[in-house]
Amino acid sequence: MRQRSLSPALLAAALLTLLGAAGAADLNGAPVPSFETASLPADRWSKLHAGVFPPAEKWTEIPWETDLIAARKRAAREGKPLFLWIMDGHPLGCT
Amino acid sequence: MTGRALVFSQPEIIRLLSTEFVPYAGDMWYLRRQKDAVGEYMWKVWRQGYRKDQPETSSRQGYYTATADGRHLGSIHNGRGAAAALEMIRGALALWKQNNAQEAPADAASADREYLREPPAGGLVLNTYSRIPLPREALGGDPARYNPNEAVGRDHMWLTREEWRSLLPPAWDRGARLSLPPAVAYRLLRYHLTDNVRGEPDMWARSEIREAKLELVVEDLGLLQLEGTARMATEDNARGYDARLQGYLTYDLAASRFTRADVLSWGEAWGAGRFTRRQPPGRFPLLIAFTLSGSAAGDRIPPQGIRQAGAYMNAAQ
Repeated sequence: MRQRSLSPALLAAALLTLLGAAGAADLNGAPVPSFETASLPADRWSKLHAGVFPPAEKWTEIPWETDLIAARKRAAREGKPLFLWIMDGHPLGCT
Repeated sequence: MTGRALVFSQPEIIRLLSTEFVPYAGDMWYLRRQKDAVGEYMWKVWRQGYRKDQPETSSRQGYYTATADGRHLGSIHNGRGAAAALEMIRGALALWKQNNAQEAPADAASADREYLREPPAGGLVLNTYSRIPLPREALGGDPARYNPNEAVGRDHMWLTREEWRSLLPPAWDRGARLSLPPAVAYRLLRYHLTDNVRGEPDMWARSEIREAKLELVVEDLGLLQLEGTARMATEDNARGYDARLQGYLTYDLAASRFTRADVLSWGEAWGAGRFTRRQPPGRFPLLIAFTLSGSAAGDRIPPQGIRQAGAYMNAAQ
């Protein structure tokens, strides 16, 4: 019998259908509500609210400066060069 | 976003930036426009950098290394990945060790106030986070590779003193309901109920708010609950977000300040903005959480939507 493999797009579509049928995914141990759910019990709300917050992320371990004049003064004082992470949208905010 | 997950998560890059460099993060939109010492410094570095031959109107996003007085040591586009970034960093460090001469900057003259964004005095700052809670297989794209929809979007919402005081009910009568004041409601709807998981979102125009009902309910003395529904969509319906909101606010009457402002939005989003392509297929769940900000340096980063300061602060108009 001929084997057929699902493409990533088909797999995603199939999974979304399943998730839709099951009421979507979980987050932090709580089912993710759809728009049809008008309000949430307190314990489910708490789990979801906490679940949106980012986990401990490695990039936040770097002691980023946000004041360029202060960073340049610090570089001169400490005898180090600067590393500049420049994005359209603040790298520590929305980018 | 990808840089956070793929470049600045590498132990050797974290070590080098934390010990051998002074790491700085900044928003190019402001830096390239500032007519002051900060803008002059960045243009000095950019004019030596990896895009030095490109028109000045083109993007300068990326990773740069430079001395305190603006001598370029290395630079690379932010999309090149961790291995290339590490190679650039090591190369810059080698150059620095050959010549570590640099001069400290003079005390800055006044900053360019047109591009200065400071949290409002006596105001309230909320951290906002957004997430698409789907497994990688459902996000679209190659499941074997990092997907930008796995990121956590971040932003900040600013309220002036007058605005947060407008949230207080005239009397703490249990069960009393009051509509969220328009200045706060429109800022929330237009600038903060957005899909910024993959980067800079397009904000909502007032005309794109199809439906909105946001109310505060007095639960008890000093306790308010936020309830709401909001539907936003572009005119062609190519992008939208159907959202419910529920939140809890605690006001310390003795200290005259909010000690809690936790809000959650959930519902389905669809489509992408100009800079947020590669969204999941179809309608996808989007959760946005708000909470009071802390005192970290990153908590003072301006809201994404405040580039046009007048529009952000007067969102209801």
